[in-house]
Amino acid sequence: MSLIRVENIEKIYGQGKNETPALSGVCFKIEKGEFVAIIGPSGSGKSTLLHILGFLDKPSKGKYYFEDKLINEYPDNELAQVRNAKMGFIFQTFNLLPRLSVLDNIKLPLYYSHIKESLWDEMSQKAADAVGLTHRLKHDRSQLSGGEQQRVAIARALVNNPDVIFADEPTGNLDSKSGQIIMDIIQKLNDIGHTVVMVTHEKYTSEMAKRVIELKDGKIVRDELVESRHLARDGFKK
Amino acid sequence: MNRLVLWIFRICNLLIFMRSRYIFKNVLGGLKTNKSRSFLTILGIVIGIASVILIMSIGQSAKSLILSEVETLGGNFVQINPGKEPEGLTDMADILFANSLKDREIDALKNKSNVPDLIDITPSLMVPGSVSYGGEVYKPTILGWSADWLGKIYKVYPEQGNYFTEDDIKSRGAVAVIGSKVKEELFGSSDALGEKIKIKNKYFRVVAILPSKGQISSFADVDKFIVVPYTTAQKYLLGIDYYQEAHILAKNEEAVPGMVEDIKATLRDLHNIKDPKDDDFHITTPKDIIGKISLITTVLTVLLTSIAAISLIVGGVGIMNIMLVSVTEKTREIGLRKALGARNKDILYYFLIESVVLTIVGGLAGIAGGVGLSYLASLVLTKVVGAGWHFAISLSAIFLSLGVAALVGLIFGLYPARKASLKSPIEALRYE
Repeated sequence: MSLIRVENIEKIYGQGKNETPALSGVCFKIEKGEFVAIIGPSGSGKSTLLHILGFLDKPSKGKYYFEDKLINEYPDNELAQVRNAKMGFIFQTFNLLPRLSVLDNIKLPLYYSHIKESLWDEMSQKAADAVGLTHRLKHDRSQLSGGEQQRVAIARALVNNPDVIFADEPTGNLDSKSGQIIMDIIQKLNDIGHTVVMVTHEKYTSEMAKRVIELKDGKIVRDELVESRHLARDGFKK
Repeated sequence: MNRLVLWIFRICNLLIFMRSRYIFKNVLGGLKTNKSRSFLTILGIVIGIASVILIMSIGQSAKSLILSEVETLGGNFVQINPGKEPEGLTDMADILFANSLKDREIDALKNKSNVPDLIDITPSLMVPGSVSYGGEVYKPTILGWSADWLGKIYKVYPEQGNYFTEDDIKSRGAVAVIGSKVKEELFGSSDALGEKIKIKNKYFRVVAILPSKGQISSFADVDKFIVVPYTTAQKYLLGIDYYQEAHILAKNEEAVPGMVEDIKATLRDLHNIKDPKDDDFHITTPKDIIGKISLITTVLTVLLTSIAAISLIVGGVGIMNIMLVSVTEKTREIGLRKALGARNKDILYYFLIESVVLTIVGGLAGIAGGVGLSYLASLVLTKVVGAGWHFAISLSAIFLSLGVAALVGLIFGLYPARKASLKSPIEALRYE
């Protein structure tokens, strides 16, 4: 069973004369435990692909199987539940809620889960430990640096122990020092078994993954394993 | 409507069983960060609820005041007016010119074999005009009546002198009983008893002066009264041969229904009326008055409350407007929450709760304001109307207002909340 299998995915924005294809005929599989970087210049369709993989958007054509189930057939509510239980999201702009403390931000996915409320604190604590933010739980977003905010976002993505983590340019808004910390965390998450799918436009960052899928004009132009993988603990270049 | 009930049910469900604590924490946090905006938004609801409470309170006080006055009349008091029961304006006009109540009718009613339970009867007339003494002129309420009825009904007895007697009435005596205000206006501090006052070029000797009692009912200020014998008023002041009304006392309260039937039978017999529809008189009992007053005050209160309730709709529109702003502001947050697994209905409830919390807070503030205003109003009205006015606020009005406030939040929050819940997660996340 593949975790993710896409067949001839197409995504077309607009209608009639304004039709612009973002993806045209994309096929690949991702197995459990993989670390895949999707790379390409802007407009290549890499973010669109990530959104489709994360159930945030639907393909115009083609088939997407998640755990061998065709997602086109899922109703919206069920998509939300799968997203909640099996997926974690990391965004370029962190997307933390300003009014909530670090702890409450990490807890956010749990509101929408079937997990008992009595376990929430413990789970959030564990996720915070994993990103090294144990001592900052009561802080407000504004008291954190960009790197720390992204670590909160990673903890939030981790809190419900998802099968796959989708990261959209996770280091895009960070300096190289913070970027190194973030990539180190993501690599470690992959090491302990989380599947990671990461979008980036930086070649160096993409080579921190184990496999690179390169897109150009909505088509896959390269899909290969990384030969000499960079490890974040050895250094990070932007 | 059914759907609305379902929504309410679902929300209650959510509040009781689900992670409401977190939703409230979130919502309240959001409202606190926008303190002045939240305040201005709920102002419409505050004003609307406050005015509803105020009007309902005043309505209730007015009703109990008037009813208590009717009760002082006594349960055995009955009034007869000429003309049929008024049902419209033309009927009212008929009554003004009705002349079916004359001495003949009064005498027939006095006859014990016709109306055995009647113990007393007096005709009554209103005389328009003013009174003068020396150079002073005053416009009082001039009544042609039996003055001793003031004692019989309102327990008002002369401070000086005595009420004119049955003999004065029979002889069409030129005597008058005056209220304290009339005395003060015409005579100042000098003695009035025995002096002659002039009404419509006819001189009346003052035989009694009433104590200052003020409003004996909402309709009558006894201090402005001049009471002259009804016979005198009829012949010399008005120049007519009929009466405008007759007042009757029954043996006791229980005898009233039977007595009313006797009166009807007597008058119909006298006027050769076969069909009750053709009655040229109508009888009012305290029960009728209470029923009518209750109806009038209820209708008035409902009417005024509905007008006040319009401001609630305006307030609701304000809530809807600000909720739309809030939804737009939180577009990214909605996208994020959806990405993290929020279902459409989670988002819907989130915003519905926000608007209901807004309106309930507004409702509570409005209730506090309304109760306060009602109390202030009762202080003022007690000064104006007299001690009979009591501050009244009903618990049902308070709960009703709170319910209405919550309902306004629910109704006007529904559209923005629905709009929020249907946002596509990815478009919401991309929103700048």
